[in-house]
Amino acid sequence: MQFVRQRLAFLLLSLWAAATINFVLPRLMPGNPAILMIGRFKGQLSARALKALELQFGVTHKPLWDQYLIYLNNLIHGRLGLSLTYYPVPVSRIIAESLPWTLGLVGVATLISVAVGLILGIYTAWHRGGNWDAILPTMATFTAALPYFWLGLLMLFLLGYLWHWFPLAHAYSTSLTPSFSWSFIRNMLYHALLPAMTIVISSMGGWLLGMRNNMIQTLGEDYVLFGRARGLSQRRLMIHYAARNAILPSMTGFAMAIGFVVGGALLTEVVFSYPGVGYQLLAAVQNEDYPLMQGLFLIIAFSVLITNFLVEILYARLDPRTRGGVHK
Amino acid sequence: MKPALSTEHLTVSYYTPQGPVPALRGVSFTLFENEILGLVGESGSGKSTLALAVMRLMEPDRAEVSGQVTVGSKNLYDLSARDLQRLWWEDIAMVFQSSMNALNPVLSIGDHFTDTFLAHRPMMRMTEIRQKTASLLQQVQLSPKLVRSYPHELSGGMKQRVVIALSLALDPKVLIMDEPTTALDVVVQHSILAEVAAIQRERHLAVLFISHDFSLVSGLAHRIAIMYAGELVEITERDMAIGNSTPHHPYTEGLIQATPRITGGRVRIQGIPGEPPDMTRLPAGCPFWERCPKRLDRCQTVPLPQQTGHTFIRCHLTGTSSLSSSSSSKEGMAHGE
Amino acid sequence: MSASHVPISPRSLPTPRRLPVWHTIRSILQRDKRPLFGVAILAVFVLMAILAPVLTPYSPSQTGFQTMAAPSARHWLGTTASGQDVLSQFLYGSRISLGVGFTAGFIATLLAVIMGMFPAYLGGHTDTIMATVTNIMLVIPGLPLLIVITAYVHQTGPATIALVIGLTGWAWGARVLRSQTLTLSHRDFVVAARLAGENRWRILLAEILPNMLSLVVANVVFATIGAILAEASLEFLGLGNPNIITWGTMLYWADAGEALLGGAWWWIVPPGLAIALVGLSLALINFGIDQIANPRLRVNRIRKNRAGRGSHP
Repeated sequence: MQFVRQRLAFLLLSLWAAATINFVLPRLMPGNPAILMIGRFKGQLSARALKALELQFGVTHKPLWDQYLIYLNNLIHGRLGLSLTYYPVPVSRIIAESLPWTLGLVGVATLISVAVGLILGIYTAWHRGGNWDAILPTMATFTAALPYFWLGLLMLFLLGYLWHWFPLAHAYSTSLTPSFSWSFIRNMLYHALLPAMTIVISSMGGWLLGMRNNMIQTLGEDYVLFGRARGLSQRRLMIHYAARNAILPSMTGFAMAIGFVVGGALLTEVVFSYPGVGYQLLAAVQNEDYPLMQGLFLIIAFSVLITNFLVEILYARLDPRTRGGVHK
Repeated sequence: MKPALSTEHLTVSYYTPQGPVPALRGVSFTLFENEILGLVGESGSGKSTLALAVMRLMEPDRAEVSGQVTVGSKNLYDLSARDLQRLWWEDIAMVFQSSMNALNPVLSIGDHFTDTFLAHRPMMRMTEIRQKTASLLQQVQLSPKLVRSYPHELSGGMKQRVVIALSLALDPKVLIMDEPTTALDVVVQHSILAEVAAIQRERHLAVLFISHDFSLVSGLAHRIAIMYAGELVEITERDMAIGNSTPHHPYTEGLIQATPRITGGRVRIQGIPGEPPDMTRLPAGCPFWERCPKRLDRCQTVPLPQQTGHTFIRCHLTGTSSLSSSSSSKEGMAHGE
Repeated sequence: MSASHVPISPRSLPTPRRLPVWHTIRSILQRDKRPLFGVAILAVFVLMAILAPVLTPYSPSQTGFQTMAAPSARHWLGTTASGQDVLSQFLYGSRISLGVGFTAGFIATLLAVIMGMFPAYLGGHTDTIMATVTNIMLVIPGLPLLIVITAYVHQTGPATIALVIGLTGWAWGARVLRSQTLTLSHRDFVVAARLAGENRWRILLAEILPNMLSLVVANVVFATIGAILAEASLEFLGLGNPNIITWGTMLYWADAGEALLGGAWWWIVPPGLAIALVGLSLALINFGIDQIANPRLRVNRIRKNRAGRGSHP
């Protein structure tokens, strides 16, 4: 319990830090960039919207601390401002529409690449020096070094353009309207396959290599040798003695890994014109739509932090050493 | 007395980039039923290697092993993998130095026992497993409630007792204990040793007790084997070790003289000057010759004679044939060379 | 067992025996060729970058050639949609891509050393605060942060990008260096030195740092890979300076110029493949550095039935 409380405290702290970074950044830049942005959109906004914008980005004479409190207050109430590109649609609505696509694509793809990566990592370490071990780690290193977006471009080019196996863009055919019908879902999956494969191929290597290294470390531990001497089966040793211990360091590195995946997913969405938060973020940047940009950044950061927290809870369940309490 | 475990010319060399480095050189000895044979040596003398080699736990790509190890009537290195897996723990078991992490951190104590039982008796029922686990824990003076605990919740002494209990799970006849009390404090050490002695008496076990602590071993074992630089230089009876009238290998004498005694007059304690030899540059003769205060010229060049027997001394000066104490009975130990 | 009467002073306590580094490197390379491949590949790219003017007669921004032409004898990698020679762009662009990558990698590692090693060594509140800051920087997703920052900074070029990447990419290295510093600080030889009254800074520089060198080098390698990828990503998204030719901006222009639909694979493949190969080469080198730092990972290809001397039949 102590562990969970600690991690919860850290979650809240980092959520606050992300929000504060978001607040501070535009005010840090030499010559507040928001001034230019507001100048551009001046004609199209209502007076109230203009005022809110100025407050949000520090183009005001109100003291910094007041701005900060107002900002935090708005945040807690879910008021992220109005998007400039899609004026007057609130930022929160745009997020609500694009987030599910990203969660679906990235979520599923990540689960697959983690599962496959871990399993392959376990196998290559267990059969160290075997045939797979000669090829897979180097291959994994190569795929891990491939730029996400380049891989996406290549796959798009080969499988989409050249061979016409997959559609070239978007989450679903533009002629269809979203519904829960099977035909729509099939169409959606069809569109998601290519971006998903890109994510899986790019990120799987990291999991494989990490797990393999951890396994090699763990296999040298005495409790594995002791287990072997006690006559335990290879399977039992590999899974319950080696893998269950080897996976723990991988999980502590999960936060950073998730960060990479999110970054890669962003790029993948851009390449495939997939309407998720990444795609919207780029659009916002290109249009200098700072409110939307801020909102998207926050939601991305929050998602990562919360996911990380959940993984840490999972870690607590897997490692008895975090549970505390001493029996005598 | 029947032999429970014996080795013949056991030789182990580790593979290194500079070539093979010997760790054990032609070690031959016999462990009989219902006795404790202590094995004493300094760090690097090869005693842990011996433990692993005797159990055939060395990884084949780490070291080259030759020679014979016989457990009961089975030749260990001729067994198939499956037979080996069955022999481990049912015929011969090993107690690791448990502060070296012998227990799996993510499994409970009970799980360790369950694993061990199910690996050998897959049909065993949980109730029986629980009963046996409880009784084993009690034998090492631990509460059966510990089955739910995890290794990190136990003290060093408790973990060591758990490891001992685990080793007894399938009633092996031979037990190898590798430095079982080394990292523990003296009080715990003493009580664990007392338990080990009691268990050995009850079950008539053959125990090979490995340690670097000569005084400890001489208080526990019936016979004491002395290792130096990968070679077995002497086996002596316990009584002969304590008294100083019987001849010994000079290294053994050094060990005896270095041991402080609580009773008796004030004696000047002497250490053994010098350092253990470099295993890549061993002399053809006795490995101890450099540090030996009684060395002869031929000690450097003439290899030590092979010896067998209940007790023996391999030394050009003090031993040529096996010296056995008149009170011990020996049966059936004639090994051919 | 032995009783020596030499008084123990910290200077006579054995520090962890360090074989001369060259010796270790050589023995590792004898058994594992991968780092050598890495060095070879990297060397090729570096040479290409240096020798760019020699390898191509054109300048990267020179226009006027046939547009979207497939590779030919005159244009080994074809041309772009605006009629520029792809090979020249590739070669001259590599200078900036590699330069930015290594610069950002160094900056990030320098920051990692400062933020990770020193607070850990000093301990106390400093360490707790810095560790928390590091952990926060770790969990905040990198690329979105980079995107937002470069969006605010209007005039972005390779130098700014290198700086920004370096300033945001130090967290992982700091964490690794911190945990290693903590471990080393508690090792006997350090404690002994401190008890003997040695200057704190001297201990850090003379005792701890040398034991962490391989880790720091591995950090530079890892940070550089990340930096090259991050730089390319930002430029691809259009957040760099599109007028400066780098591998990333090449891909940006390729995407904008509809290279995909035009089937111009020669424009897309080289920059991305180069990034991947440089990343691979650095990772291969890292395999070697890993093995220096952690002997357990060392490759041991000794075969089973190796005849050795001194073994009885």
